[in-house]
Amino acid sequence: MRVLFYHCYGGAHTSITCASIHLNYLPHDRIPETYEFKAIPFYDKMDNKELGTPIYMGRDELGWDVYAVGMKDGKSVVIPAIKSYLNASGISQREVLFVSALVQLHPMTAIGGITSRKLGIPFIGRPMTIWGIRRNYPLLVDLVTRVKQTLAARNDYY
Amino acid sequence: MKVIYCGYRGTYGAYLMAALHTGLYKGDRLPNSQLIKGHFEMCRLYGEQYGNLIYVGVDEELREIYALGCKKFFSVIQKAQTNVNRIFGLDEELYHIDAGRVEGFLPRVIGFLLAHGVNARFCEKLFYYWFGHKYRCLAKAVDEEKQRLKEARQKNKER
Repeated sequence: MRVLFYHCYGGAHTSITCASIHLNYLPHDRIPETYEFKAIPFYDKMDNKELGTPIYMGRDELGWDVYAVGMKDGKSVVIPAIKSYLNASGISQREVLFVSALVQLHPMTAIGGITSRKLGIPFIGRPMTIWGIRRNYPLLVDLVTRVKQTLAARNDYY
Repeated sequence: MKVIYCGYRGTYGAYLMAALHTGLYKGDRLPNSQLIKGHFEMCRLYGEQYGNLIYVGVDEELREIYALGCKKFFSVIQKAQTNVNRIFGLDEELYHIDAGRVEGFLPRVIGFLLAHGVNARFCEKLFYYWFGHKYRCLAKAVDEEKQRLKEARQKNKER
């Protein structure tokens, strides 16, 4: 079993977007429209109390299960904790991959995320997150492309 | 079953509770000074290792006991590990205990001072004070947790 985790602060926007690009729910060759973001399952849905819970997004063409997860600003603690637990349970490190989806996060996405998820005003925050993500969408596509290349190389190697 | 004691740093209250749980330290009396000194050395050397499970031993019911330093991300780590357990289909029960609630604020201070190179002798004195002061309280908390685990096990058996 091979599992890929896209992680970000709240597990509601960038990680979900990256996972959606990875699974071809969102296009690679153009910037999606607002309604396309709203149609993604789990977009802007993660409850603050549920942070740390991985959300299953689907299985890619290489057989990797893709998850999105929010880790607050604790990735340097949470990732070792997960890996350490898997290690103690006899699961190989090769079977999991963590990818940070917070590449050049647009400030508007961060502000929108706080407004929507923390302050509980999604009708203001959600459009702001979408606006920010659309601005940085090519960077997210680039990230996912590189991840897919890495996974393909891993598959060839093993 | 894996029981994980979580604290801000894994080597202070979390490790102490795990050691009490396994019987490495006895709940009715303080360990000898050699052991306390050894515990402080461990804090000095490994206190800043966050996220690494420290295996402490097994208890009388063969549960594996661990200590873990998780800063302020206890609930995130708890959910992440529990769900990863499910994702990988590991047939292992997980039980997280928040040691941060009972260990008090001194471990945070001692850890901070050690990390910033403040005189280790001074930190050791603080550590001894904290250890002696909190020992009974932590031992009591461990007894309560053990009782809870026992009750949970009995309920499971009845089902």
